[in-house]
This record gives sequence, C-alpha cells and structure tokens, in this order.
Amino acid sequence: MDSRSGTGAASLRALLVETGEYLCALPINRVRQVVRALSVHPLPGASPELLGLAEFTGEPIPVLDLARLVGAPTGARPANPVTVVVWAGPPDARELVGLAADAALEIVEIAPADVAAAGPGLIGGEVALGGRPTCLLNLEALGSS
Amino acid sequence: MQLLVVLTRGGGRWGLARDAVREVVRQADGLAVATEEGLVRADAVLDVAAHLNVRPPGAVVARFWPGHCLGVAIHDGAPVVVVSPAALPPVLQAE
Repeated sequence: MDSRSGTGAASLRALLVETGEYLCALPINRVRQVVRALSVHPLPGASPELLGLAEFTGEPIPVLDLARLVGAPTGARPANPVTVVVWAGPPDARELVGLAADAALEIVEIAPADVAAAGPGLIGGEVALGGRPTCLLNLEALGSS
Repeated sequence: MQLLVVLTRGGGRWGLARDAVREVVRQADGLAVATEEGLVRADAVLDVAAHLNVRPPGAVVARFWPGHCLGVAIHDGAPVVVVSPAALPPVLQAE
C-alpha cells in the first residue's frame, strides 16, 4: 500500500464512520463527499451488499451497505441516514461509490504503527480508536472480486 | 448518447436500445416489450425515445450484481440499467 492510498508510512488521515456497531476509517483522500442518504433505486437480483443505484451530481453510482460489507451487527440507527461517496478501485480505474452508513463522525490521524494489518481485502487493517475497534478500509479493493 | 426505451420493472428502471424494440403490448399483468430476441416484461414504459448518456457500469456493479449490464445512465433524475434483450436479468424475462 502506498502513500497515495492513505496507508503509507506517514500518518493516515481518515474519515471515521459509524455503521452498525462498528467504526470504519476511510482514507480521507478517497472521500468525495458526505451527503444525506441518497435515494436508492434497487437492482433486483443484486447481492445484499448492493442496495441499488442512486443519482449523484447527475451520474449513476452504486450504493453499498457498509455494515454488510464489513459484517457489522445492526446498530441503533439501521436506517443508514448518510451516504459517504468515495472513490473505489485502483487509481487507474477508480469509480464513485456510495457507502450507506449511520454517521460520519470526525477526521482522525492514525499512526501506521497502531494498525494491525488484516489482509488484502476491503478491511485492510484494524486499529483501536477511543477504545473502540475500528476497521481501516482499503477502498482500492472494493471493486475487485 | 444512446437512444433508449426506458421502462420500470421490479422497482428498478431499465433501458433497452430503441432499435431493438418492435412494439409494446399490454398484457393482463403488465406490459410486454417485443424485441427481436423475444419479450421483455415491464410494469410501465416511461420513455420510448430517451437520448441518454450511457457509461460503463463499473467494477462494483459487476461484482455485486450477477446480471449482464451494458451500461448505466440517468433518466429524469433516476438511475437506469441498460440491458440487452439477449441477456435479460430474471426480473425482465417473460415466463
């Protein structure tokens, strides 16, 4: 992972997002915008993670259920009142994707030494923030199978 | 820009290439769009000649939706999934 993806040797700036009972840290350079929940049009036959498609700045984008993506138990606000629009995929093929979540909390600095690497998938690492376990998301892996 | 027939079905909004559509037939339980490849089921037809900017669906849709998507677009503020009559998702298939 390199510094462009926000996971290099320097400290990582990340948007802290609450989803279900989990916290997720999204590399700030991958965050396009946080908006009130986009109106989602379902895509029949899709996996449960894909809530559907939504219109964002005149373009269609897929909207994913962040809690399902990370396997988070349902929290107190399961209605997903916010959509975090992020750049997903590798740098040469990135695309905008909406992540339906409970709340965008704050921007935090994460020291690489505090991160326990988790693997090559969407959850790139884990870190404790404020005493709560937090998934550090690798959004580059989101579009890959 | 592509010229599409836009229809609704199963809560979604779908697009078919205008050139592939022959006619729209009313049936007891909705509509059927006749194409060279067979019938496409629809709840409603919203537009028979929509000029839409269709772009590739992207890797995320391909990963989480098993259907064959030719592209995605926006019609009247709502997303449209463009499909081929030759490779319809089950929700659009005539029984």
